[in-house]
Formats: sequence, C-alpha cells, structure tokens
Amino acid sequence: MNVEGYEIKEDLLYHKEHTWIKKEGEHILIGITDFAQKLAGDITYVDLPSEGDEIIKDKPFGTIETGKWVGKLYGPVDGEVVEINSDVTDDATVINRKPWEAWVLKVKVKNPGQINELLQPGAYANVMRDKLKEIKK
Amino acid sequence: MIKLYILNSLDWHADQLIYHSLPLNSIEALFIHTTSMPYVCIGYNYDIDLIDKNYCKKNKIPIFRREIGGGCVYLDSEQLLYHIVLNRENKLVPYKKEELFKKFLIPVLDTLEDIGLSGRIVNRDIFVNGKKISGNGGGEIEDFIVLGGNIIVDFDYERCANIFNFDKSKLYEAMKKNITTVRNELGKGWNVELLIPILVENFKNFFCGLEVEKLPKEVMNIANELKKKYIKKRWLERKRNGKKEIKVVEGVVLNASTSNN
Repeated sequence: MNVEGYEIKEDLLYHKEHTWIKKEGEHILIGITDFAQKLAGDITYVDLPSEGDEIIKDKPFGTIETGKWVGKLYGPVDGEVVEINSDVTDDATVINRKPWEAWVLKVKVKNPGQINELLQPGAYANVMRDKLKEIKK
Repeated sequence: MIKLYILNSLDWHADQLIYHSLPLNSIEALFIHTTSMPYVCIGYNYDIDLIDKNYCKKNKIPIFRREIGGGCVYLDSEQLLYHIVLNRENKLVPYKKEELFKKFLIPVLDTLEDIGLSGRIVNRDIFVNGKKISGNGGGEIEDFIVLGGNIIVDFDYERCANIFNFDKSKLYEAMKKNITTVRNELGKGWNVELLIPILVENFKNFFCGLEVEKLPKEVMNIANELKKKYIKKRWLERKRNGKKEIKVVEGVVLNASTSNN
C-alpha cells in the first residue's frame, strides 16, 4: 500500500507513533515506518534500551537523532527487550535505507492482548493521512 | 497565551535546567536567557570523549549534557540564548522537523535583519556571509518539543578550540573561518543587552503576543530537582562510542586523523 509516496507493508501491524510491528511467535520485532523515517530525515543516532529492560505501551523507550533533533520512540506494547539490532546501532542510516528490514528491538510480549490493540495497515494509513493533512495546512 | 521568561546572567545549571523543567510543569513558553559563566553544553548523543575534560577542569569550565540534539557548544555571556517550549500537539508545531526549524527560526532571522544582517538557514543553523552566527538544536522532553539556539554576539575562538580533544590550532583556524559573530559583522558597539528587545519583539510578532511573566517558583524547584540527575557522571558520560569527529559547522568536519591527542 502506498499513501502519497509513503509505503505501508500489508503484513505488519502498526503503532500510532509510527513504529511497525512484526509478530514472531511470543516475540515481536519493532521498526520505524517509512513515513516516520522520511519525515524525520537522515538518522544519525539511535539510542535504545538494553537487553532485559522493560518497554511500556505508549511510553518512550528510545530516541532517534536526525539533523540536531532528538525524537522519541514509543513502545507499541508492554514487554521485555530480548535483542537489539546492532546493525542499527552501528549505523543508524540503515533505517533510512531499509526501513522494513532495519528492526530496532526484539521484544518478548508481556500481555499478548495488546497485540490486538495495534493498528492494521488500513488504520495506520488513516493516521498517516491525518498527519499529512496537518503538514499541508 | 505562550509565556515569555527573560532571565539574564544565570548560573550554568539554571541556564540549561529551566527549559528542561518547563515541560515537566506543562508550561508553553519562550525562554530568552544568558549565562553568567562559561560552560560547555553537549548534545544528547554527543561523545564526551571528544571533549578535553582536563582542560575544562583546569579552567573551571563545567560540562552539561542536554536532553535535546545537536553537537557541542561553548557558551558564555556573549551569546544570547533562546528556547521555545511547546506542547507537541500544539497546532503551531509542524510535524516535519525541517519545517519546524524553518518556522521557529523566522524571528531569529528577522532579528538579524533588523540589525542589518542577512541570514539564511543552513541545515538548521543560521549563516551570515557564509559563516555560522546561530546554532540550533531540538528534541522532545515529555510531551513537549523544545527548540533552542543562540545568537553569537562575540566568541572566544581560542577557548572553544581548547575544549576539544583535537588538534587545537587546526580547530581554531576552522572556527575562525566558519563561525562569525554580531561584533565581527557590525562592530564592537553591539552587545547581548541590545539584542534582547529586538528578539523579544520579533518573537511577540511571530506568536501574535506573548505573556511576559516572572518565572514560577515551581519551575525553579523542579530545575533544582533535575540537577541531581544531570550532574551525575553516568548521565554526562552516557555516550562514549560516537563518531570521532568534530563538526565545526555543517560541511566542515575534522576527524580523528587530524588530532594530536
């Protein structure tokens, strides 16, 4: 799916703060959407929690820095960090180049019911459309 | 209405911590300020190892790591600082960060124009006659966005070059070549005090009014509380594996191979 030049993958779930979520059994992979990376610009740093740390739904778990701006990354669900993608921490620009491959965290989901609260691609497309309307004002 | 706080000659902690405290008090404000003493302020992701901590210690130059982005700046009383703190849901705040800088730097550009300088935004900083005169950075603190920057009225190039762990003479030359000041451009008659009312007026026009207020006690109380976190070594040294390079201005980068340390 493509919304005004911003790609959305049909086989992923989304959080309103522009992260994508891929289910892998009891774990999820979290990445940054094409929309977010394009609007953010060139990403220079990613700051992530450590393995074993908890992340909380709708609360910041990390930051990305783009052109002198430090923005927050928000947890899509409650969970425990089981792996950090070192490719991303070594070279954050991979998020700009390959947003759908460059997951940032692998998380063990604490409350599987929260997965059902994540956005389907169509609903996330509407979130993007609303943001795009604001941008064009 | 957005509040306006103008505070001069602050100690280095207050200079930084007041704008960190405003979001925690849910206050939208423009904070215009100056410091009474020199200090080094590094960005959230800046590698502390790029700083010559021995030089800073010997010369009693404190180091502060801020929550928001950007590189390392040497700040003193000859720079006018501004921080815009707004709720991230405020309709005035553009979602696209490039637009956010372009929009909120308009009053700074207008201020420079009012004193006879033609500035242009280059990668979120402001340049005059090909040299940087205003550095800017930003980020999110709680549910607020913070955009901060300076107008360099005068600059101690030598001292600034000395605070880095690099070839200091090369750095000094690079700074001289790429950073300018109001006094360099317009003469020694200019000072921070003369600029404040002009900057205030331009921000008032931009925001269609600002409510001038005394800083609430609660803001200072929280700023004092925050101090405990921000002076901790663990916070200050949180990033030690960044790129071994110093960005003098956009496009001018000195890397470790030029270092003599």
